[in-house]
Amino acid sequence: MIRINVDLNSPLPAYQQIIQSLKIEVLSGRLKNGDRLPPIRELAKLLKLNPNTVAKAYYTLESEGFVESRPGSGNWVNVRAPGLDGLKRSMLDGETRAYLDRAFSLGAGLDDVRNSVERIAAHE
Amino acid sequence: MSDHILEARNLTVRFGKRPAVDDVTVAFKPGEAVVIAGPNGAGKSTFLRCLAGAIVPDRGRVLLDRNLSGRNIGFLSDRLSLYEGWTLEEAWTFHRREFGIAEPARQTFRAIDLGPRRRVKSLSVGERTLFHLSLLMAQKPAVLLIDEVLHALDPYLRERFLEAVIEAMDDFKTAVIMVNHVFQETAQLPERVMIMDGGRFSLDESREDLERKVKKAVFAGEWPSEIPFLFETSSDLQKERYVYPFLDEWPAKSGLDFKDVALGEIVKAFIGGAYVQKRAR
Repeated sequence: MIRINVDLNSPLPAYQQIIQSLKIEVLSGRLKNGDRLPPIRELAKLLKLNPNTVAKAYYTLESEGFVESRPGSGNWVNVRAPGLDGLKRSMLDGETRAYLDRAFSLGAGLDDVRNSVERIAAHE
Repeated sequence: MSDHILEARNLTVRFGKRPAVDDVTVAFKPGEAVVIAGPNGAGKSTFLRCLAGAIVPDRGRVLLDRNLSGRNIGFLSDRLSLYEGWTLEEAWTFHRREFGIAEPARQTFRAIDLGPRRRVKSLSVGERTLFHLSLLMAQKPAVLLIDEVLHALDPYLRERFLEAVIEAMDDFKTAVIMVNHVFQETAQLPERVMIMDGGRFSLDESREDLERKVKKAVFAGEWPSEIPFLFETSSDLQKERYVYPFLDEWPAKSGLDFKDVALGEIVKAFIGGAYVQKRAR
């Protein structure tokens, strides 16, 4: 069962939220190469979205090479390992940027951040 | 008509002396999803009823794509009365004959969870809305006009309602034009946003453009006078201003931090702005 979250109050457009969710599913391994994505109609009903919004997300993923669309049979995950590394790095950078923003706003410096990350990682 | 499915030309409707719809010209494309928002009394429902053919305009006209007729247009409103004394089955049979519908009724009754022997007048407002929607869906409508009906539906029926509308958009490429007060649940459907005020459209933009052009800035000191704003919310703690149309150079010029705004909040800012203007007049 894959998880796709769309926050209706987020200013991030819904199709970009779908793209983000699907990429996370791929990185986490819940979606694998060759898996079939939910049909546009079903995902639109589930998330209460315009079918065009879901189609736009799939279309964008296709143009980025993450999805292969086969006419009449749906949309399929298409990721090989090299593409995955780049994706992982760019999403991690995004998360780090957001985290650093919050950490610095607390008045923490880079050394505080480094210490905190290492201390907590060591306990997990 | 070119690529339009439905068009209003110089539409005017007067109630007494006051125009409720004031010389409106606007066109809709096949399959598009449109929301019409605006303050109470702006003329939204009157405009929609005109498109539906339920009101004859004082001036102007409504044009339909030449391949369509009135039966390709579905109009949904909680003010309609509908086959009141009949059972659902009788209403369905009549409606089916009237519109030449082939689909068996059983499917419909199962889909909306209503017993065919119940009478229309025994239904709650929400159930009636869903029943009416199911009748319209069987017509495979090219256009669905929805006059705010969601506020009468409980959360369960709201979901069923939205799913049925989404299915129609996918199955028949139905153009959906809705007038909304309750925005939350439907906020992700529209691709085009129209704001009506005083019988005219004060805004008509694609959702994508609108989301790019409206931003919000929190400020404490002086507001730079060259930046126009739509609406302000203020408290003792802070002031927020919604700006439109946003220019990329403003953050650097003004030093203000501009944030993206979700569609529901954008619409609220436009309606709030309309009230402020009204007070000023």
